[in-house]
Amino acid sequence: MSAITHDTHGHHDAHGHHDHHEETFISKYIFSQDHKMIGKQFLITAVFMGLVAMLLSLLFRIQLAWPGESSDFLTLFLGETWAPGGILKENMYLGLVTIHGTIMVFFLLTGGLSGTFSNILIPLQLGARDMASGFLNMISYWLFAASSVIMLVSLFIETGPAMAGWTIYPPLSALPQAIEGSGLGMTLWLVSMTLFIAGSLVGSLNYIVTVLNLRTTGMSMTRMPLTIWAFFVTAILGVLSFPVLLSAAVLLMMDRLAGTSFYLSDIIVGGEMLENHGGSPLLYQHLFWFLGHPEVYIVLLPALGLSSEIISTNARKPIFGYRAMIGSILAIGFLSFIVWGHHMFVTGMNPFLGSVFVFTTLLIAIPSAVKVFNYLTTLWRGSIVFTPAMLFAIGLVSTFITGGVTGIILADSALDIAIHDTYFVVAHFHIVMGMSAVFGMFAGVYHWFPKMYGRMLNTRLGYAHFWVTLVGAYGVFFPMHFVGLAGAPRRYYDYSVYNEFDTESYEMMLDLNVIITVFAIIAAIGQIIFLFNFFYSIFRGPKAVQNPWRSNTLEWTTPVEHIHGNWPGALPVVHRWPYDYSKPGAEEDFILQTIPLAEGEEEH
Amino acid sequence: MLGKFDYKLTTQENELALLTTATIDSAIRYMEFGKADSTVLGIKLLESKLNNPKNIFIPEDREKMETDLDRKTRLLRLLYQIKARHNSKLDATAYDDILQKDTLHLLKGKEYEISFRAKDVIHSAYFPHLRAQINTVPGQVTRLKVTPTISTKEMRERKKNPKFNYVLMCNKICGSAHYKMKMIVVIDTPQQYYAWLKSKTTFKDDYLKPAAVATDSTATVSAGDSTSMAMN
Repeated sequence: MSAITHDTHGHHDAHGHHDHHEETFISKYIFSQDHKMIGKQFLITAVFMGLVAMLLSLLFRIQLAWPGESSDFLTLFLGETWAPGGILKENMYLGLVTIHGTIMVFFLLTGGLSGTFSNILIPLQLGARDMASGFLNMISYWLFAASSVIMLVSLFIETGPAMAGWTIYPPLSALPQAIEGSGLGMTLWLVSMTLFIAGSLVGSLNYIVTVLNLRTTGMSMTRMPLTIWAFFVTAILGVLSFPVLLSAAVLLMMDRLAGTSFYLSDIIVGGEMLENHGGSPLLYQHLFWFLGHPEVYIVLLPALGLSSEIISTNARKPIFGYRAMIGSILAIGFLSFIVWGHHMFVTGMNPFLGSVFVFTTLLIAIPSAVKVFNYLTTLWRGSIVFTPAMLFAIGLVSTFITGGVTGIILADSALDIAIHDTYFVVAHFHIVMGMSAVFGMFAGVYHWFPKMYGRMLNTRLGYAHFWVTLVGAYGVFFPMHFVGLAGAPRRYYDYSVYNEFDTESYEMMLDLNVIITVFAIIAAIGQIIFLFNFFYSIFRGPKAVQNPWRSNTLEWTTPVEHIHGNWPGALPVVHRWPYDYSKPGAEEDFILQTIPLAEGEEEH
Repeated sequence: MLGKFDYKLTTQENELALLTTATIDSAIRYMEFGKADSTVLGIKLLESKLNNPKNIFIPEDREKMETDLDRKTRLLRLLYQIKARHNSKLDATAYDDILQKDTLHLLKGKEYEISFRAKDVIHSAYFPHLRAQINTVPGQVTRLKVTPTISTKEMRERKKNPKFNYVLMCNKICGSAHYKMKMIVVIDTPQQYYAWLKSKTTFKDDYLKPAAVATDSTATVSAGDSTSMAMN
């Protein structure tokens, strides 16, 4: 798709000449329709939710490391209801695990990566004044905020939050008689997720329309930075898969409140013989994982996109294999829809169907590997500048390899039989999501902080934050591989059963759990470095220059001070792709996309 | 062959809901009359209580009893349909089943096809040492095939741990007691196995015994995941 004519943007240019835009505190900071403000709103909300979820993880990790021992920390946060005598109650353990997972996957990673960076970067990197619809953008944030509030509220109700794991499989999640959290807590979870899905859909539609329609003159699809490609495909994935989760949730609501039997059949629970017949819990699993799998790519693709940009800029080299990168993003996007069965290998499905999912899951490893190789070849012989953002981006690549290889193991249904629902799986997804994707988010924050707040983050604190997080997080998740291979199931309150049949394993698990928890506490405390750096630098950080990283993309051609409409005058015109770093024959080691081709210069 | 089953036939004496002429009649009786000590009210008693003008109930209690009555009435209808359709020739397949509740005994070297059901929520049958796992789903039967090759005694020698045991653990979140839901598995040599087998009684012996059998309530029973094994 080639250039769009100037004329349609005529009236937008006129906007840029507005000096006065009567803004109240509310219209500027609360109900803003400016994509830059909305992006920051997403970031702050997501980080706050992430901190809550991190606290929840510390609470249940204390129980796992020191089972049966009283803890003042638990009493402080959970009181006598949920931690009588300082010992976590079994059902609240499950509740904490559930809400931790839900918040991290949806609120921190989807909201914090997609919501934040799609909003901030799409218009800026495309040369657009704002998103296609500022109003819908605002709605998407406020739906996200409302869903966050409801999810947090569910932690404080009398019967407790949802307790069936973040995957909330029925019948456990459909029957309050089976566990208390499946009463009001489950209803609140479903309401919160409905709002979240609505917000996500509205946002995704906005991003897609903006990418397709609002690119500036000269910004063809193949001149877009890889971040935009990633956000674009992510948004398409979201539009296609989130409605399926909504349908799963609606059917679950109906089973719980309207007496239907979508997921229920032949059940006797709590001494009560229920009438439901003909439903299947497996239907829920199919519907859930049809979203669940694309969801993890919705989380990961923006992180990968951000890394492409950061690695290329800080290696002063064009990203290796730009078209292959685009192809990989599209391939990952497409394949992510046909692998969901790998979460269901042990449900009793026909092994032949299982083998189909093995095949497609192994296939999706290929474009992921292509991306990893391209990052590595971009770094090779580059003039690397080690900013904190660069460290986190390289950290993303490294942890993606570590987490990815265990994914290959889990992809094989025969191997999965022994390790499904054990800590091996927990280790795998925490390394790819809790390390890789989170590192992508940190890298994005460190790299685009100057664009978001007009100031610089402190570099040394950034380095400290990186190393504490890397070492801490690996210390948490690496031992989990061994615990999992030893057969330790997930979502177990403690491992006392092992004492009854294999005391040696029991000792090993106790020791490893202590190590994991200690590292978790260290890594959690390490985040204080980031929080301090972040909030302090917003107000007192050194003022940023217009293009502190000497990067090529369009967002660095806007003034440091935020203005509505992004550019004070006319929209930029693009003449080249965004990766002209260290181009032979050029004076500088970077060439902005807006700089026209020199005489005799060939475009990449 | 394993006996047929239907969840509506579950009673205290017939925990695995096996389908025989006697169990159908017993389930019908249970639905109509409830438990002898009135801890569970049957249809007759519910009707008489609710229809008695001298009884006053708070609205929640009345509603609960009415829902219970409606549900039981509909279930009773279904039980009569089962009775009408039942072919008594099938009874033998249920009567020869051996039920075991506290420990699972398997014969070393024998290829087992194990069928799993679940009563309340999804559980998972996980034999970590045998590298075998399958979810148990309420409303359907799942199965796996496994051949144990090392007996408990041999494994104890290998691990130099005389207290070692194989185990069957639940591996799908199923409630507060998920972490406690397990069954010890013993893999016997042929000698041990057939000795153990001699001591077991079939469902026919247990169920058709004249006196009511006091079932012991172990954790595994209340959590709802059960296995029954066919002897051929």
